[in-house]
Amino acid sequence: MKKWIFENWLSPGDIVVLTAAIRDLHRAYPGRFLTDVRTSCPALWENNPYLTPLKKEDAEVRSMVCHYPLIHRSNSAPNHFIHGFIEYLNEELGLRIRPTEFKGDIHLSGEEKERPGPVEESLCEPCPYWIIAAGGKYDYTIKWWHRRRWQEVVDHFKGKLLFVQVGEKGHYHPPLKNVLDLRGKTTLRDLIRLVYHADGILCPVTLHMHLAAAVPLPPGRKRLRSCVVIAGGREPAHWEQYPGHHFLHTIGALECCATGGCWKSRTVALGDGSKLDHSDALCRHVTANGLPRCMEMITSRQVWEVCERTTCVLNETVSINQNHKV
Amino acid sequence: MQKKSKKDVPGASGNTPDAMDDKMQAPTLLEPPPKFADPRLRRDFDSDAWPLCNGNSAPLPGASDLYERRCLEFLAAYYRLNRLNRSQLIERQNYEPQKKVRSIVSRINAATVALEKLEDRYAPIGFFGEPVMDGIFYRDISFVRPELPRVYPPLQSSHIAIPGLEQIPQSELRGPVKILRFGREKVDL
Repeated sequence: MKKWIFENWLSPGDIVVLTAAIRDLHRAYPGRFLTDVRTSCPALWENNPYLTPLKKEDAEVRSMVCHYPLIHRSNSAPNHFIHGFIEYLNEELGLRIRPTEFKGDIHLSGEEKERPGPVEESLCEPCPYWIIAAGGKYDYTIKWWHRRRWQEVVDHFKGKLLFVQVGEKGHYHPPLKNVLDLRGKTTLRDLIRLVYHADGILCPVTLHMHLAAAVPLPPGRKRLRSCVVIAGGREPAHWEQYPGHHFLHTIGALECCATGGCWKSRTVALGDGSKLDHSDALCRHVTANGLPRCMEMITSRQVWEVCERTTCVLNETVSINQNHKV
Repeated sequence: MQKKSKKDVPGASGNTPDAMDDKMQAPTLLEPPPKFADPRLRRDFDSDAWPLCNGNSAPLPGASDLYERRCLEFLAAYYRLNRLNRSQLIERQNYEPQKKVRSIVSRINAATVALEKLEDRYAPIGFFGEPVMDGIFYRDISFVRPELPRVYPPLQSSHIAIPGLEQIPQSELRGPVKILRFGREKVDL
């Protein structure tokens, strides 16, 4: 039995993808490995059946920082992010792991599944909703869409669909009107429970799209959890998109992303001393509105039309109590 | 997700630390325009309409810190709205002619549009003020301050597995080490 501690200190979205690799390692080699992790987001590993507490000091235990060099070929090779860590483990450990599911591997406890979701706890009654993450971290500002466009999408669904705004405190998440505002109020486990009960998710390329796929569906739900990702031209769709997701991209539509994702970091320099202000890391096509051209091309109308098709809210008459204070 | 290599990125080029410093993009200095006038310097300044800044007194007029100057520009916009909202309230309470009320409403709309334009202008750098309301008045504005680059202990960032490196003779491992750091555990060599 080989004992391994796998490390990764990247962002939560990356860690969600790593959960898939650990799952598939054990499925490919049942009973051959004892695994533990050291990552930036321990909450994502709660209830994970593939982990065994291991100590680094144990002479039998080996550890490895996990990377995904496959990303270097993401624009040209037919691979998804899910393949990234798996290929790295295969290369490093001489294995033949294969992806078994097209999603990460997040587990909820029985108590978490049975307990009312954060929205139901806030409103004191169950209510269908979508999660909206209208912003992100300050490192990759190029992923941001315009604050007013998020609002236009919310406004379009006023009275038909409840949006729950989430976002980490300290990150860029400008307040939206007519939403249930849970910004800065959810732990990572709360967010997972929120996703578990959500009908859909609207977000840029970020943690939430990975959770949309990785968090299991509630019992009885047959349809995949909806997710509309406002992506632009930074990352190739085949690398990021999950089954059933709508990945609104502009790859091929602009010179700067004519043959693949540009993988730039920021729209404009922030002057915070970060290397992400480097000219090579900045968007080359910023519009007068201060948006990357690729993000400007995605209109609020396009987004709400996709959301409508996804949810069929206009036909299914999703009832929302108008008295909810959102 | 951070892409660590630029090999297949359109328009990318090899970098060295020195070259990077040369190519660092000057930050977009979004700041109050030269014509910005701090309302507190006006003779008719109404301190009751001036909101708090992050729960505290606002920076002093003429503050040199860029963050504080940005805050002042937003506070001035909210101050204007507070004054107009109070005028409207008074006129309605006094049953002023509709024409006069409409004029105030029109000015409130214009001030709201101006605030939205201000928010839009600063949106690319993620700077915005979030008001705490008291009825129709803006009493306190909380401003987001982007996190500065984090410094992590070397324990978390020192080990980078480079397959095959151990097979290279020491004699060939000479010359300057080029390490470009892109934040948390995201390193280009």
